[in-house]
Amino acid sequence: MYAENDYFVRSETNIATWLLTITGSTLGHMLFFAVIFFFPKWDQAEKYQPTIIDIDLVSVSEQTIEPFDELEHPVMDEQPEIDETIPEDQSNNSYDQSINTYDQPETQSIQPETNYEQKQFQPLAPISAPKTFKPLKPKPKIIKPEYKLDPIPEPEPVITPPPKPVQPPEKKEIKPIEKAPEKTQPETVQPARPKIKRSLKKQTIKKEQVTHHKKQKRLSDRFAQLRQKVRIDEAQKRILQVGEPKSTVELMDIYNAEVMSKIRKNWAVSFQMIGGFNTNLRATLVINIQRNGYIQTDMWFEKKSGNEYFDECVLKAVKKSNPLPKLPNAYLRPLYGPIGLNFTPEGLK
Amino acid sequence: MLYPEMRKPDLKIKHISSIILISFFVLASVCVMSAHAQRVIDYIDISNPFLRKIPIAIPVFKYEPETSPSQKIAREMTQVLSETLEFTAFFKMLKEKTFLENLQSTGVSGSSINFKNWTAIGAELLVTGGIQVQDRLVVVELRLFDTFSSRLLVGKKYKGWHNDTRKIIRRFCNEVVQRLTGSKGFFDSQIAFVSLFKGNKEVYTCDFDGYNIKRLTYNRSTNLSPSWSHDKEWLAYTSYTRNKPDLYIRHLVGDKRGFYISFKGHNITPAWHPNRLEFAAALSKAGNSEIYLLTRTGKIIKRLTYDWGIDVYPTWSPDGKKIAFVSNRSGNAHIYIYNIETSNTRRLTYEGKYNVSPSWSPKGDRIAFCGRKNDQFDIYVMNVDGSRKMQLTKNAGNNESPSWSPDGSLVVFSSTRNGTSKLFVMTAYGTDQRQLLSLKGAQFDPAWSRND
Repeated sequence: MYAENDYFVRSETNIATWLLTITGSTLGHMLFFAVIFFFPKWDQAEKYQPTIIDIDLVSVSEQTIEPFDELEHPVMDEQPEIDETIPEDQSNNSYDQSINTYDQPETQSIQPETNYEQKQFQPLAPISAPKTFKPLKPKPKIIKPEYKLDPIPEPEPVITPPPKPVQPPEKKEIKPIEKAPEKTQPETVQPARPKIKRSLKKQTIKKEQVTHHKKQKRLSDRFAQLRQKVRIDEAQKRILQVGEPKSTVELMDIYNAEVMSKIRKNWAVSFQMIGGFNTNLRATLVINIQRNGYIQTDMWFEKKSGNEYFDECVLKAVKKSNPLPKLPNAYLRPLYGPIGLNFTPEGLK
Repeated sequence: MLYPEMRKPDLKIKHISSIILISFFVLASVCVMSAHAQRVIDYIDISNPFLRKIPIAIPVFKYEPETSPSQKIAREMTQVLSETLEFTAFFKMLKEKTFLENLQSTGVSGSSINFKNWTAIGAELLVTGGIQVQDRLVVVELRLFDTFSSRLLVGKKYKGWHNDTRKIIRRFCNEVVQRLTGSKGFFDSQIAFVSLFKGNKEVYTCDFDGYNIKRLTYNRSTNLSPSWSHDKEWLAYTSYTRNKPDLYIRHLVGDKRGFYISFKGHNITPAWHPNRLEFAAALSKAGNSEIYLLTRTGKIIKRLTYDWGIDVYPTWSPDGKKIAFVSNRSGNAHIYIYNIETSNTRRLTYEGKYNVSPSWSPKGDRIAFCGRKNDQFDIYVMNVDGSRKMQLTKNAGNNESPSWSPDGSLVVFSSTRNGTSKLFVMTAYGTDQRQLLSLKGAQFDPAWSRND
C-alpha cells in the first residue's frame, strides 16, 4: 500500500495530467461497465455452467435470500462505527472464505433472484442503518412467490417422495448459513476499510460509497455462491445418503446425456469411408438449443476433422436429431448453449 | 521512499488514486472472470456412432406400364440393386416398411420427391429408379440423391434386354461407389476358387457376389492356387494332372492356346504381375524352392531369390516393383518383401511360427496373410512395413488364403467355421463376415480378379 501511495505522490507534481488520466480512465471504465451491463451477451458463457447449479438452488434454497439481506445491510451500517477493532482477530477466516468464493465465479449470473437482490441493495444501502431492518420482512414475502413458481414445474415432484429426509436438512442448512455470514461480515469488509476510512473522513462520501457498494455486491454475491455451494454439497450428500436417483443437481447432466444418446443414435459413419477404426478424426460442432428442443440454425464447427465426409456425417446426425428433447422446466433460460458437441469415432469396433 | 519530503500527499490525489486502484482491481477481476467464463462451454462427447454404415433407402422402382409383369421386373431389379449395394458393406438398407413415400405415386426425379419424408426415416442417401418395359427391352432410369442437401449425385439411363438387368444394376453400382468413395467398385470383378467335389479339386470361377458359378477344369485331378492376370484374360494355376505340380496358363476369354510349364521339381503358386503379362512363381528346379519371374509362355526372365530356404507364395505390390513372399530362411515360415529394383530383402513378420499366403492390397498400403496361433489359422492384416498388425478373424475355425477385392475394401478367404471349408467375405477391417456362396463340397484358395 505504501509503495503504491508513494508512486501516486510522486506524480503529484503534474496534477493536471493526473486528473486528465484519471477522468479518462474512469470514463473508459464507465464505458466498459456500461457495455458489460447493457450487452450481457458477453457474459453468456459465464451463465452456462452455473445453470446446473442454479437449478439446485431453486429447489433447495427457498430461504437463502433472507440471510443475504441481513448480511449486506448490517455491513453497510457497521462499517463506520465498528471499523478497526474486530478485524485482526478473525481476518484470516474472512480471507479464506473470500478466496473460496473466487473459485466459483459462475453462480452469480444465472439466477434471476440474485439480480433482484442487487437492485434492492443499491437504493437501500446508502440511506441508513435503521431502515434496512424494516425491509427485511417484506423482502422474503416478495421473493417467496417467485420460488413457489419455480418449484411447481419440477423440483416438487422430485422432493415429495422422501419428504422427511429433505425438509430437516433444509432447516439445518439455513441456520449455519445465517450464523456464518454474521461472523464473516465484519471480517470481509475490513481488508477494504483502511483505504476507505482515510478517504471517507476527508473526501466525498459518494464515490467511496459507490465503490464500496460494488465491493459489497461482489462480497455478497460470493457469500451467496459460498452458501449455494454449501447447500449443493449438502444436498448432494443427502442424495447420496438417501439414495434418491433423481436430483436437480444432475438436471442438465441428465439432459446432456439425453442429447448425447439421441444424436449418437442418429449418427451414421461408414468406417470404410473414414479409413477404419483407428482414426484420430475429431470434429466439434457448436449448437444452441431452444426451450422447445429445437436447435438454432446457426450452428458452426469449432473444429473440423479434416475429413469432409466425417464432417458431413456429423452435420447430418445433428440435423436428424433436430427436435432434441425439450429443455427441463426447471431450466429458466430461454436458450441452452452454446454447447460444443465433440464427435469422435472411437469405439467404432 | 525516495521522496520522503513528499510523504504528505495531496489528499485529493490520494483519494482518487485509491478509487482508481479499487476500480482497477474490480475491473481486472471482472475481466478475468468473464474471460475465464467465456472459455468454459459445456461440451458433450459423442463417440461410437450408432451405425457404421451409410443409411440408404431404395424404394421399389416406378414401373411403366402398370402391369403385373413389369411390376415383377421392377421388384426384382430393386432387390438386385439392394443386394449388390449391401454386398459392399458400405450401406445400411432401410426397410421398405418404414418408407413414407411410394415412387409409383410421387415420381423419380428430384423435383417430385419430398426429401423430408426420407430424412425423417433416417435415410442419408436415396436411390430412385424408373423402368419402362417395352416388348423385350427395358429402359431404366436410376438416380442417387443426397437427401439432406437434396442433391442429385448420380443420374443414369440404361437400355437393355430383360436378362441384362443385373448388368445394368452393377454398372450403376459402380457409378455410385465411384461417386461416394472416389475409387471404382468391384462390380465387374470375379473370383476364382478351388472346389473339392467327389475327391477332385477343380478350379471354378464366379462373379464377385457368388453369382454365375462356372467350372473351369475337368481333369479329375488336383488343381490349386489360381491367379488372375491383370487383364482378367489369363488364369494360371497349379495342377497335378501329370502326377507332379506343374503350372498351367489358360486363356479365359477367347480360344487362345494355353501354356504348360513343367520345370524339374515343383512349379507352384503363380502370381501375375499387376501391369504386364508376366508372373512370379515358386520353382524348385535349382534344388530348393525359389521365386522366379517368368513370361506368360513359361520362359524364365529372372531368378528373384537366392538362399537355402524354401521361398513360396509370391504376391505383387500394385506398382509391380516389390514382391512379398513366404520363406523359411529364418527357420520358420515368415513373410519377406523383395525389392526387384534394389534386390533388397526385408523381413516383415516376427510373431508366430507360421505366416503364409500373403496378399498385397490393391491400394498398396496393407498386406493380408494367414497366421497360425494356438493351432488355429486366422487372417491378419498389417502395413507393408509390418506395423499395425490386426487380426481379422477370431474363434471361427481355420481361416486361410485371403485375397483382396479390386478396390481393397473387401477380403475373400476360406473358413472352416461351419465344418467344411467354405468361401467367406469380410471388410478390410474384419467386419461383415458372411459366406459368399453355398456350393456342394469344400471350397478354398480364392483369388479375386482385378476389375477389368
